[in-house]
Amino acid sequence: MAYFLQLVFAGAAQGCIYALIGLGFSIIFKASQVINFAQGELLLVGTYVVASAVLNWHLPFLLALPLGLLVTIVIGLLFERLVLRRMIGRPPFTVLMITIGLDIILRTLVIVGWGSRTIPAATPFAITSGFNVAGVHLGSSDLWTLGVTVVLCAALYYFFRHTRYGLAMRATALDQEAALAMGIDVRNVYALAWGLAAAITTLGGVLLAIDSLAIDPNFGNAALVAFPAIILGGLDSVSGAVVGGVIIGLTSVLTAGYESRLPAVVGTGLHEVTPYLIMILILMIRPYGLFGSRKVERV
Amino acid sequence: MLELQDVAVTYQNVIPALRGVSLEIPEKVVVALLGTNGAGKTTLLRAVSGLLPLHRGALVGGRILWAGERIDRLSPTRIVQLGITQVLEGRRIFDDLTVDENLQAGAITVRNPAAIRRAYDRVMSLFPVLAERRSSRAGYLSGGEQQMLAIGRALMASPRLLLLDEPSLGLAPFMVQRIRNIIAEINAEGTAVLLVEQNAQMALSVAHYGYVLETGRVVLAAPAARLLQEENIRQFYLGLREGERQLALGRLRQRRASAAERRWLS
Repeated sequence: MAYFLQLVFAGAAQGCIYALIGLGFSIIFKASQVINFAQGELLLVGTYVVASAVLNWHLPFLLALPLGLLVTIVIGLLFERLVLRRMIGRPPFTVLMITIGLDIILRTLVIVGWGSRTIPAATPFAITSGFNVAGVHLGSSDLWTLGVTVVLCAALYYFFRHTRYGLAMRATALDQEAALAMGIDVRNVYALAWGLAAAITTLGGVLLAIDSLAIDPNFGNAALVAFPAIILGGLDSVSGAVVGGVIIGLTSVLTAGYESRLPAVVGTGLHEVTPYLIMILILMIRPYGLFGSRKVERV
Repeated sequence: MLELQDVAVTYQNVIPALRGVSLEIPEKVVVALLGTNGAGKTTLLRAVSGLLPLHRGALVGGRILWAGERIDRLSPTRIVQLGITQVLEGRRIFDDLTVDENLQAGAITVRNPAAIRRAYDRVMSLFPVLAERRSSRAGYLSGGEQQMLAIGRALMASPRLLLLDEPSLGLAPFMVQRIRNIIAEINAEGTAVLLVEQNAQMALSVAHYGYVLETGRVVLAAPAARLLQEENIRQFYLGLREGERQLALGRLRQRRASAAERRWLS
């Protein structure tokens, strides 16, 4: 039982990281119907900046984190301002290809700037810190991940439900032209979405890096693992990204924990496949995802 | 108050939609804009409200003046702030949001909470049916209620000029009549209205003045009462057999509005 609880705890924490990365995808998709394939590289740049700030420039972690967030927010805003703003009204596919271009540029910049070696990640905790409850080890980093995600989700909920800008974003997501006709400045909404998504994704990346202790230029691929999470949650649903993330995290950690007890035929890589199996299963029943709206076009 | 001077619009740099339209809307007046599909009515509204760029259209000639100032280069946000709000064709309410949230979205450019509350109370007294359904999802309203919500949402910005694009589209006759009366009521409170309609009878019954647009040109402009008498209008818009409709349309298209008709105010 303790083993099971331990896995659930670890799975939930991992799911929260997928949720944070997934939130970045769905906020941008909701605002502008674009899947941002550069999401993973925004996260990569952010974690490298945080790691450098702590290890090379000897800044405290709590200063390095805002610095990393700031850098990715600026990249997101510049990209929105200089490139995407000229693309308003063009087919989403065009914009999608451009985000792939940005992805490649960012990854190359990271390799040029930091080299392709693996470097240690910045972490504010000792690996073993945390405490035990009823035989379950609650690690500090996992506890922080859970806490940060819960607080952030509550803040986002408040933002979308009860503020002018939140309302403007929801209205723009539903009908861009009607929003424009109401005087909503759609350009500001896009900028806000990109800034918000960049920051949240980077936060997810930094928490993931704490967990995995080291980072290299392929670290951005973590965003691909968050992908089944948002697809099964419903691409255009912010709450779907969170629920989807937790489902994927739990599935993958629980399978990893129990796959050694399964017949040898199954092998030891099953936990890398189960998230996608779950995704396919849910899409067969609900093609638009758990919380997605039916109108979403298939990409 | 609003003045279009020789306005020409093309889409994607090649497709002409308006070819030199001049039109005037004085304060506190209802002006009807009639014409067949593709005549350029919606394009004209977009030109005024700043929505052309979204459709890859651009003003290629002429100018649009609001209270003497050019507004044809301004953003939609700025134009709403100056007092012009457009109600899009097909209602286009935010169907996942509640009725209240839709109305709040209409007031997004308004900074003064007292002004928002005044506008809200006005909308609620104009449309009691919305007051009953304040917190229900807008997508669940009936077609007529959605049209009322769309008009109410636009009124939340307290516009001095309301641009209405086909408010009677797809509504039952009694609902068309209600929308007509609502337009009259809004106008009685001092808001000018530019009403684009296929339903010429309804439009001319509430308007003070009417313009007929065909293939991007004003072909007829006259006080509404006179337009109702005009033989070609009667034959084309108010029924009769198909052959006669086509003949009437041909005669309408050949007409160019006289200078006196185009500048009825001066």
